Amino acid sequence: MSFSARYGTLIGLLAIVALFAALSPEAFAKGSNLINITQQMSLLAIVALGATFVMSLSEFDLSVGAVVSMAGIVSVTLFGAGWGIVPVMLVTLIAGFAVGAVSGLAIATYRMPSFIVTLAMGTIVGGITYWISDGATLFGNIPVGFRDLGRGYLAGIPVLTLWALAATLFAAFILDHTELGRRILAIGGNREAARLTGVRIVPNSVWAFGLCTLFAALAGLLLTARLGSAHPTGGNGFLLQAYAAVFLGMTAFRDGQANALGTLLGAAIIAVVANGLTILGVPNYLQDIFTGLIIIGAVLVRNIGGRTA
Amino acid sequence: MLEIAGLTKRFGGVTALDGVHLDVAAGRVHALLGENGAGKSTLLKCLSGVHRADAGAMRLSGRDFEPASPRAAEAAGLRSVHQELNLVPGFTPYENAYVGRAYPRRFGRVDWKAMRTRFAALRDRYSLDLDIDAPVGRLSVAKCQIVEILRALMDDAQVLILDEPTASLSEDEATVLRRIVRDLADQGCAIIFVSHRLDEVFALADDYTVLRNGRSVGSGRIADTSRDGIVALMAGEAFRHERHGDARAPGEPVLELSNLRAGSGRSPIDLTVRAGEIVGLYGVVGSGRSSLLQAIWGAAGQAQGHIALEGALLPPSGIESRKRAGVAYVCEDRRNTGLVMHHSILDNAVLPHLERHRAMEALPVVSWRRARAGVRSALEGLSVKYGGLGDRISTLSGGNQQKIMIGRWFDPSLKLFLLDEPTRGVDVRSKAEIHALCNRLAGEGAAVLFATSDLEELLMLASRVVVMAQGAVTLDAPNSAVTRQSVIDATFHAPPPAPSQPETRP
Repeated sequence: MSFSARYGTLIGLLAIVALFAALSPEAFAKGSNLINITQQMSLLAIVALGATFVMSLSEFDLSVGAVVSMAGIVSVTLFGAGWGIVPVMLVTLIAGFAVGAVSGLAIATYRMPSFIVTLAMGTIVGGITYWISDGATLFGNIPVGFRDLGRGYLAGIPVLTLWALAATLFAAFILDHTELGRRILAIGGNREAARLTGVRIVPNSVWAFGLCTLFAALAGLLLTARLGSAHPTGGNGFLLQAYAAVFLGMTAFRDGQANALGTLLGAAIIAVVANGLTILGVPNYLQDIFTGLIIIGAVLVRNIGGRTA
Repeated sequence: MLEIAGLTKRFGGVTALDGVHLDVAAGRVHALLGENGAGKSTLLKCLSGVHRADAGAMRLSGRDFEPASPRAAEAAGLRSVHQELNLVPGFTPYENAYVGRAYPRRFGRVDWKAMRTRFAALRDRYSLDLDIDAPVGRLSVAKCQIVEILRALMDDAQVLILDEPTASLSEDEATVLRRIVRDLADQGCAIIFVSHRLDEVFALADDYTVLRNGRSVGSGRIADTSRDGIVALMAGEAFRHERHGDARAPGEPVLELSNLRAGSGRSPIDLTVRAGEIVGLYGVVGSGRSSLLQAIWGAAGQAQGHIALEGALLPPSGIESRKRAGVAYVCEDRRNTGLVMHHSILDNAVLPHLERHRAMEALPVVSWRRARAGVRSALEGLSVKYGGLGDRISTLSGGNQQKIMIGRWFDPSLKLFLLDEPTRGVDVRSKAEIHALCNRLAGEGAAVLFATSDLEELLMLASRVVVMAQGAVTLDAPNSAVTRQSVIDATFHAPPPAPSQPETRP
């Protein structure tokens, strides 16, 4: 794999940063703004890293946005019932894992299309979330210790940034260094070849989908900690952006394969573009158009480059 | 009707057809016969415009016939029906018949009624029992085969090619199909009929041509020949192959199959493979070799019967149980179901036994350092040529890929190797190396069961020969006790006709 194919997307990010720095040397290029971007991208990165597991399996999980929302509502409801920080987080993360595990079990056992199953699962989770919250934004009785998980600084670095880095390392470790990860990638690469060498499709799929929604639930918890409240559809916007980040990441480092570092890079590109354009005073709808064009452009460049290589 | 003279076709350095002659007359059924790899498929592909011949002449109805594409061949009046069905399951028979054809139109809109009427007329012309309003997905395999034939007959075909049309049919269904073929011939169509059922050929065909090694080695009227005469033509002159393995006394039974059915409706199979034995499974495509190996490997969902390894009974399915018991399996299609082609050599090589390269015994964490070292030394032992372990496995030659597919299982504790077509599509040198590998495995006391469509390979490598036909074992004898002729003869031994059952397609 050539240098340009491996690092082209990274160079692209650096070029975008350099462009914004030239256009707005005072506001964008300031150190505090750059640190701020790492915080702004962190929740998106965590959801996208979860999606990286199912994309490695060559499947989709469209329930991640609903799970982010669910995690917020569940946690605030439990805090309201007087639960402590650790039990609330544990129960919420287990609930998040369970959503994906059920999808993965259904998809692998009955060979249903993941697109449809997880779309339905997301709808169901959204309904349950609405039911619990009665459609209202919940403020509840959120402990200060929990809120610090989403808004504090550690040695000058935002805690959220550290969460995103930890999630990246964890996802990279699972995918590159564990038997689970290699089996997920093998199934995603050639399902029948993996099956015939004895890779078990069902348990590995359950893990991949479970990890995906576990990450989404973590993002939901951190979102709630940061905002101090939870809205029943507050996380739904993450769905499309998360897959955009994974697709961007697939153009980096590995030859067209979803990978954790690439996903982090993808989330960074989306966050930098949003931040830079906001600082330049470009309206929101133009930001969306730019982000869409960048995704298509990255895939296009990689495909054309790949063909000539 | 169709005259072919001196047809030659080369693929690279391999001559697939070498001056083939074939004359097919109108109103007659012409059987095209030959072993696997004799050149039948290549000849049919030249006829239907898939391949272009390098030399030779073809004439259809007295005119030069050089189809540049399947469409051109069809325009000239030649139609093919392949063994695999090419139907859209959700479409009715008449909708399927119009796929790839111009739809009749009425006031600018598709005239479904005209389509149905035309197809119904065709059905009635051959007085067939066929529901043309049901989606073909609900029809039996035989009915689908009939739909394929009717589709080919939509425009008046002068020559109809039927490539093993009865291979997947029950005896009753095959009888119906043969009646249709006869009717077609009686109405003036010239029919080229490929079949691996010799009894069927004698019941149906008027003329025959036998291909061997890309040459037409005999042709004439069926009435003037005999079964033995045909088999002798297909087998060719006696070929002294190097008999192998007979000297080695086989050890204890490793694999014992009793009453194993690879799927519902399959014949029960009994088979024993002993330690140090190399058993070769031979048969035409579709004879059940691959299904049998998959059933032994536990990869077929609906196998029934007993599979025992060193006396211990294995569950009817489940690949894990086979791996634990010391069985290895290499499938026949390395591109589609064998390797993850866009993954690295390393990834593919470690996939079956990731747990062997753990950093710590108790944790499922891969030590890439150990994995690299292990794979590197294994590939050295197999004399695999590669650039780096991180290269995509698709960059290797077929022979090297195949060696990795076999070698990645190696483990001194392995008792049984199941190899499906271990040398398909590999070069001569790799083929010899893979054969040496099989001999080494057997020499170390493992049992090897391999399937092949290559008669030379069977007789060169196997210490015992097992022939399958239509899902049943028709010959099981030591290599020294068989001849080319007796092997080929066994591929035609149809088992007693299975009671026909209303078969519905999945």
